[in-house]
Amino acid sequence: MTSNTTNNMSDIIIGIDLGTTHSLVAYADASGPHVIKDESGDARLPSVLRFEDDGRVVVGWHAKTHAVERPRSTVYSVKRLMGRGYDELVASGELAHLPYRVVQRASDTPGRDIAAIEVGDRLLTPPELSAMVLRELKDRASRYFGREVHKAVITVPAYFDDAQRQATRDAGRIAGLEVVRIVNEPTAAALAYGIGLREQLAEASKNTEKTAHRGIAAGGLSLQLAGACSSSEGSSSEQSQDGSDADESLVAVYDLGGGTFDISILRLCAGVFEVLSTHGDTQLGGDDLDREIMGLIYREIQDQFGLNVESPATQQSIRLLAENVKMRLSEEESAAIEIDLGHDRVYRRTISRDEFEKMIEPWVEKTLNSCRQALRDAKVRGSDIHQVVMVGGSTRIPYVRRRVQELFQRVPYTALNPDEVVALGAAVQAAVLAGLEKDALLLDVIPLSLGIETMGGAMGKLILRNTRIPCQATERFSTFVDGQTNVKINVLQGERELARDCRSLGEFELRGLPPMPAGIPKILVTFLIDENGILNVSAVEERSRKEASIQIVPTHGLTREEVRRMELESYAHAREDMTAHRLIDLRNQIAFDTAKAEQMLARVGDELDPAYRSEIEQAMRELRRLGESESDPDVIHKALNDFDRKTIALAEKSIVNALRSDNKE
Amino acid sequence: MSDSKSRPVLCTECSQPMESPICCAGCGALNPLPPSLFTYFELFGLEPTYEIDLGELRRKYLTLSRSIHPDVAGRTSDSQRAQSLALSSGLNRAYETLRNPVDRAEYLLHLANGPSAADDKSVPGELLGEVMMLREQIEEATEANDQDLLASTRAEVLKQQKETLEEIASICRSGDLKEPATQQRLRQQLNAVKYWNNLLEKIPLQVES
Repeated sequence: MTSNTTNNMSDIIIGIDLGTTHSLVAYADASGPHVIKDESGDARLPSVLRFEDDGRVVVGWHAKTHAVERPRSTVYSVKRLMGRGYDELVASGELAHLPYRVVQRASDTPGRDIAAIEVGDRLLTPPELSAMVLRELKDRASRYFGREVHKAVITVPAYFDDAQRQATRDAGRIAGLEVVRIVNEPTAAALAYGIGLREQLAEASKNTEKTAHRGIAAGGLSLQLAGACSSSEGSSSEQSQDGSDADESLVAVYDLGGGTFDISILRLCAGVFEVLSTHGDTQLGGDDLDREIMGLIYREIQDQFGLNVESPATQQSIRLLAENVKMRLSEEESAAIEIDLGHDRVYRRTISRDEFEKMIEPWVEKTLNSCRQALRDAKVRGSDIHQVVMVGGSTRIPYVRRRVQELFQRVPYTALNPDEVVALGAAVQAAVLAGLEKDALLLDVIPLSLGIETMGGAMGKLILRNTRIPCQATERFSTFVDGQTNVKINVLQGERELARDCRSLGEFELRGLPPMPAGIPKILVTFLIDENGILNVSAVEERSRKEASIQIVPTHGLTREEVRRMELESYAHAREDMTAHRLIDLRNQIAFDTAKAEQMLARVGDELDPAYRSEIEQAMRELRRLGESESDPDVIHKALNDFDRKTIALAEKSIVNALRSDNKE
Repeated sequence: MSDSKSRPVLCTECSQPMESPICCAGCGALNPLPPSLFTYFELFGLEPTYEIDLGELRRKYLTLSRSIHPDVAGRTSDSQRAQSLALSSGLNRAYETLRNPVDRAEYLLHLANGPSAADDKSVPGELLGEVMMLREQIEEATEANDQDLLASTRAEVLKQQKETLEEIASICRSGDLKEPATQQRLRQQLNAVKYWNNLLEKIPLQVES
């Protein structure tokens, strides 16, 4: 074991934000948390995977910008599938929007429902796919530190249930990472926000008092939070009856990401980050806003030209287009679209910001209702909140900011980079666990009530939502039939009254009970929610005080054995890719990318700005030359990424062409 | 139940007296005492009364959390982790119970060996009729989307809730909780407050903002 006071070299813990659209990796040192950028200086890694015919997997920008070319083998938004069953995904309509194939994984145990994605001849579960994104980030960090990184803090939406959290932890394991902590995204953001304020205050006091040093302990981050809470009497106002201090602040974190939404209400005080309540929707994010625009385009093309453009390739390209329109509407009052459908059919449309706001209003209203519920559960009013911290790319939308401002009656805090703040918070928590950061303490809550199915199919709640974690509840079980040796318990999560309306986390089976008359065996089952918000179940037979054996079959998750097997498979794959392979792959990639760019230039080159065109041609020549002479994979990788970025505008142009060829048949 | 001050607890590691029985402020050791051996009040070193200093409770809770939370670095072995999880869950429950006035009163009732409010569902005589009327009012106003009526109904329920809480405080302050009659009065008010809370849950969220 290592000392916990020094930054031991063998014990780096990285912080990872595993996002729906982008993922990031960060670390913290004495100067604070930092994101780790790729060779081209970008911190964001698109959570997009592209499967080549030869079995290779490309993760990131390349996979994203070239999605149209391999529509069925380019997988994105995996996070929305994490820990979810195929049947539920069908019922929620989620799958209708995806160009890639999602199927139900065969299982020999009845009652299990696990979704998997079919790419080529491979069938991969969402944790395996997320593991590929995590491995890319792990490798990035390992390159940065010059040695292998094995431990990580990974963030999840606060409203993730147990199955979704377990799936995230499984993904980490499959990627060869020990997941030392799962942290809720809004909580991580609050941590980065709080630490950021501390740094600012430290900076300010350093400037006013030139001789004062920053008080950073060697190798550590310990610095007293300025304005530490003085101990005052419990306030006697109507709302605050629980001994809150005068100097503390109430913060709301509004986190609207690519695929998920969370709201958390926190009390910040002297380094303690105390979550009072949380609410959200794990199927609500920027993706849904894109789909509104996509739906409009589909409908109008259908009406005007009688064309059904919902093929996988057009779905991928219209999705990129819609995302682009959405982002433009945050800057401009309107955005024009033009799609050449071939045979002189051109779909032209200008979407105004006003129109877009009407489209997304129901989604934003849903987030506001979550906010209201979180406020009620925290027993505070919107106007009591001192700061509303905005997190997630979708909070750049002016309409979202406006509505949030109305609800809380204050201008939201948008000074943080909404893409990076969660990863930075994860890195701070990693520093806490490594013993480098001694001030911060996170006290979080369970987002959804936990219970068991009782007689008659009701949900019997054992732990209520917004209970502080860790927490535990115990329940006695017995047998119904003489000589019965097994007892089955269906564990549920959710707020509804009936078991069938809640999510089943799994069936827990108590085994090997001594055969006795009905009702005589008494088994005490303990449901413990740990600091990660993950359920741990143990059981004791009360008479014998003997630990009872529990067999757990996760309804929507993987068993331990399955995870172990996937880890070995993934490791084998990763090793192959490592050395020589990497160089060959990169050279093939150069050949492919340049050929592709050449094709695109031939088709749409005339429509380009001549300077841009010659820049691309020049870059193409240089890249080819580099591929022949260079033997350092990292240099080639960087050049490829740079090239990719240069050709984004070209690729966008080619979307139109892809549509044209797609609709010729 | 014995007086909380009569039982000085010594740390099993460094043998110093401990302010809280679960974690030693001196050496930081977690103390594996079974939580059933001490009351929630003893856990925080507080007198077992309804009138507690909530600021002090909170400070002690945060101090203890800093020592026993599973995130505290260095707790890497399985047994340390299990111990920290068990203690943290116990601490969280104790804190939530004492912080909330209703739960605190209920807990005092439990310490006085009285049946809990849930065991005995009795309520003040006039309560049910009043609750029924307010519930109908909420349903009608929700149906008709009458924001003014909803707001005024909410204000009425909040007023009732406040009065009930004051009654609970006054019973705990002045009454002898060992007396069956006092216990009975307390249980009625504790049950009443649950009715007010349920009514507040039924009011649409929009009314509050």
